[in-house]
Amino acid sequence: MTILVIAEHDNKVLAPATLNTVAAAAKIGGDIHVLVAGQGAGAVAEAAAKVAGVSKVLLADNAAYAHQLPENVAPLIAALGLEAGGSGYSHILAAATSNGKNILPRVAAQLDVDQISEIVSVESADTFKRPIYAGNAIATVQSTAAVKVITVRATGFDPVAAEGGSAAVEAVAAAHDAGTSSFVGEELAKSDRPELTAAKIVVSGGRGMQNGDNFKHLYALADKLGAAVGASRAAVDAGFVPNDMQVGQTGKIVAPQLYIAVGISGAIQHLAGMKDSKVIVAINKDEEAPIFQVADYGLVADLFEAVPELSASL
Amino acid sequence: MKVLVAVKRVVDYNVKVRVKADNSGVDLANVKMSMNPFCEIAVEEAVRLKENGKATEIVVVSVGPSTAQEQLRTALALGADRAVLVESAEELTSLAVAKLLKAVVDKEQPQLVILGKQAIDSDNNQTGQMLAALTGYGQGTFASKVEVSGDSVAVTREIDGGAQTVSLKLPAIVTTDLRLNEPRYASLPNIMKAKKKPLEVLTPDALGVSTASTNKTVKVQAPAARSAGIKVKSVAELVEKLKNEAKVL
Amino acid sequence: MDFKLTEEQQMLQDTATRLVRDAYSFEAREHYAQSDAGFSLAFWQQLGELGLTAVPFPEDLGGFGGGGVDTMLLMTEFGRGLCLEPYVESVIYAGGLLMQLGSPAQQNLLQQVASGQLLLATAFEEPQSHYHLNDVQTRAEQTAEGWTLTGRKAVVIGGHQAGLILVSARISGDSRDEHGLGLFLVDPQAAGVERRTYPTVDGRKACDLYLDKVTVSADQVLGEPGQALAALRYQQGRAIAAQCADALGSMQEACRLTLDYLKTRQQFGVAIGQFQVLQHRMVDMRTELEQATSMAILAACYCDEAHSLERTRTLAAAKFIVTRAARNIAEQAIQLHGGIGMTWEYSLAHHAKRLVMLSHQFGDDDHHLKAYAALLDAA
Repeated sequence: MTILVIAEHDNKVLAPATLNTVAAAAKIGGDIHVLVAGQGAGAVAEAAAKVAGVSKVLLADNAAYAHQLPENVAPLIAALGLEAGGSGYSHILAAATSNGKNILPRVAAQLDVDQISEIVSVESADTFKRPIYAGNAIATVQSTAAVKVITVRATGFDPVAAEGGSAAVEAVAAAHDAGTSSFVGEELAKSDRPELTAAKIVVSGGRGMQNGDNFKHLYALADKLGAAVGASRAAVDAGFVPNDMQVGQTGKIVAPQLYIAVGISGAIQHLAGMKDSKVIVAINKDEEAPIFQVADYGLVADLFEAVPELSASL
Repeated sequence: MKVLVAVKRVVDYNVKVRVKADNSGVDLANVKMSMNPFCEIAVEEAVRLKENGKATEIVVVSVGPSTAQEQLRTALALGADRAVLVESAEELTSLAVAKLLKAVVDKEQPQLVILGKQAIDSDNNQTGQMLAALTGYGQGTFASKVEVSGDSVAVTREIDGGAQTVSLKLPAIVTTDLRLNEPRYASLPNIMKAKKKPLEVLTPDALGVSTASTNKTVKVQAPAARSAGIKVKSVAELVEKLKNEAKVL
Repeated sequence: MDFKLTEEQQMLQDTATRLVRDAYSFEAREHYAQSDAGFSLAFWQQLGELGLTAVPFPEDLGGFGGGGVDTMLLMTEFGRGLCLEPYVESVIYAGGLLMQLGSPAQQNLLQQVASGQLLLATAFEEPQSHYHLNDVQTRAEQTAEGWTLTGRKAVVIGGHQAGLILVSARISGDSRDEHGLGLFLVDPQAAGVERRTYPTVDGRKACDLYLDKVTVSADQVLGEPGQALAALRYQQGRAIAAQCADALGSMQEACRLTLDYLKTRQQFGVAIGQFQVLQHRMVDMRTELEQATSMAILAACYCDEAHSLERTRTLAAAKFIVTRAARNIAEQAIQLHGGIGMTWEYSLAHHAKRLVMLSHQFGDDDHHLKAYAALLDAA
């Protein structure tokens, strides 16, 4: 069995989600190849070659792949999947990032197989677990496809070491340019704080923050911790903070090492977005708040006293 | 320009689903069903395109049981012109649905196909991308803005950490994200009009599509509950626990 | 009997459900309640735009010819969301009277009522009347220009916002006579009209109406002067049916919140729903709810039929059963919640208050039980 992992990157840096995906591949077992499709992405391929457990890196360096356009990247991956033939890939894995989710179903359809989305665990080489109904149920899915096409939810797998491997980098000559789409532009939110879904620590505020201005207490705490700042839907709906900060079923799904919920009551909608965090801390003045039922450490206190005190004591 | 919108009948997003005792699936008996929220956004976008004079006809299509006619009627009440149901009592995978939609696309020849990015039951997030692969069209997934001009469409997409804009040649596939628009309510006059709009029923056999699948759901379980931890008395105790017990600081 | 909704009714219900869910969060409701209007003018306008204020009117008057079941679907959702808008008063009750008694010119007003632009209120009760529509002391004297009204009307829901108020007044006879009642369309801005506005226990706004020689022109009289009581009673029946549905939505929500609480709240290490005593109480609440549901449906089916003893009796029975259920459920829900059930910040407390208020509007359970008994004798 040989598994192809699609690298997540921005042509410069290998994204950490790739390490979780390789971890999922390692659980399945077999040789692990990593495909880096991009433009001027040599450094990414070098980084991928060092990842523990990777035996080969394929580098498809072409202008057509610069922006991860699925119309161009999917045929490349599908061709790799097919051409390998008898000795070829048993699985194709990508992180369930916006790129992975965009590209991989297109690959699956080209290979005429069903995809398995956002797996959170590997039961065997052909059986996987994945959440359905927004995490209210966990389905165990078995695949009979010759090539199993799978996206991996990063929060389900501890990342493998980024260093330690020494795989060979092999260039792939193929260049697919479907000509149906083109990249126009990109606007990435600029923030000194880490991205919500990638942060090791997340501090989130809810309706208890009372207004947007009070989020400054959370930013101060987040800066001490190197954390990202999120919010509950209630806080977003109340207009305290913008939409892209929302953690929950309809917002971002996070699973950091430490999640600090401040003034959040813990609606099911919010819990769905953070309950896989390693350690959950809740600070709320209402000791009946449902958030305490999932919190590892609960502090019943006025957040306007507790949060500054917490910042000061770090 | 003709726009095709695909909608799915799913459990209402306000319903708390329960896993069946025999782990064969979730219990959907007597549960309220609705149009998938992302599909409502897709319908709304199509209706706005028509109101702006960009679209001339909106055809709404669903693949599902005969009861999915309710969701098609709702789409008609929201402003779609006619409806097509590809009736199948079986639970189909995204690939099977994409193949059926491809057959409808071949028949209808729309310039733009709009779908929800994912259904809130299976959470697959696949159908739009698969339909794009099967048709060979460009795809603008997770759209937060759609602008049609001439023979192309500019789609602004929600991506990790920001937004990306791509330009697609028509015909193209768009899948909707939450912030694309705020769907309207079906007004009473439009509900009454919906009754008179045509609704065609097809079958996978008639479309000549096989719905065989390579995936099998072995079982469905309730997620592991997270147990409550402890209450700390002070910030100092919290910091101490996080440092020495949980070792996350 | 077929209880399945038609596709159109299903869609109407979906629209109402979503609309209320989106517009009537707890905080939003607080905000509306504290505004000058006491409800959401924007929501009311939206109801108008979506055609929902036009549901019960015939098509030639700008409506959709909807029946009691259609109104019931709407009212149940309004009840669930604790909506503050005077839909029953303006659209069902006053609108119904205009439909039944209005001259062609007066019926033209219905277009504005159906589109939500004109808000009507009903002023039929007086401090001494104790739910009896015939107990009217407000006097109407005929003059050269028309009529002058003098008297006091109590608890006119939404009267402070209404464009026109329907007032019952006595043209002839004594205080409780069945004959001699007239109905008048009063412009609240007219000379001699004074309104004292106050909040009601359920967070709405009402006013007492003081009429001091208020001049009403002859074309503002509704129907045959002196013969208003039959129409008043008939239309109150329609209002009662709608109100039963309103209460139903509120009771469903109160039961849902309570069951949720029993499953969540822990005491002695277990969810309090584990205690059999509380299970029994919850079952009692649901039993009451089921009975009330059946009666509310029955009322919805009867309310648009022609006047008959059967109809009057059914509506009295429905009002009695629903009122009894409303009060029991309100009280039990608070008991099962404990202190939290009484806090302002929790919607259950507002459902309880609303249910108690509904129990008294258009007659309490005693009133309707007596009415029912009297009709049994008559049969």
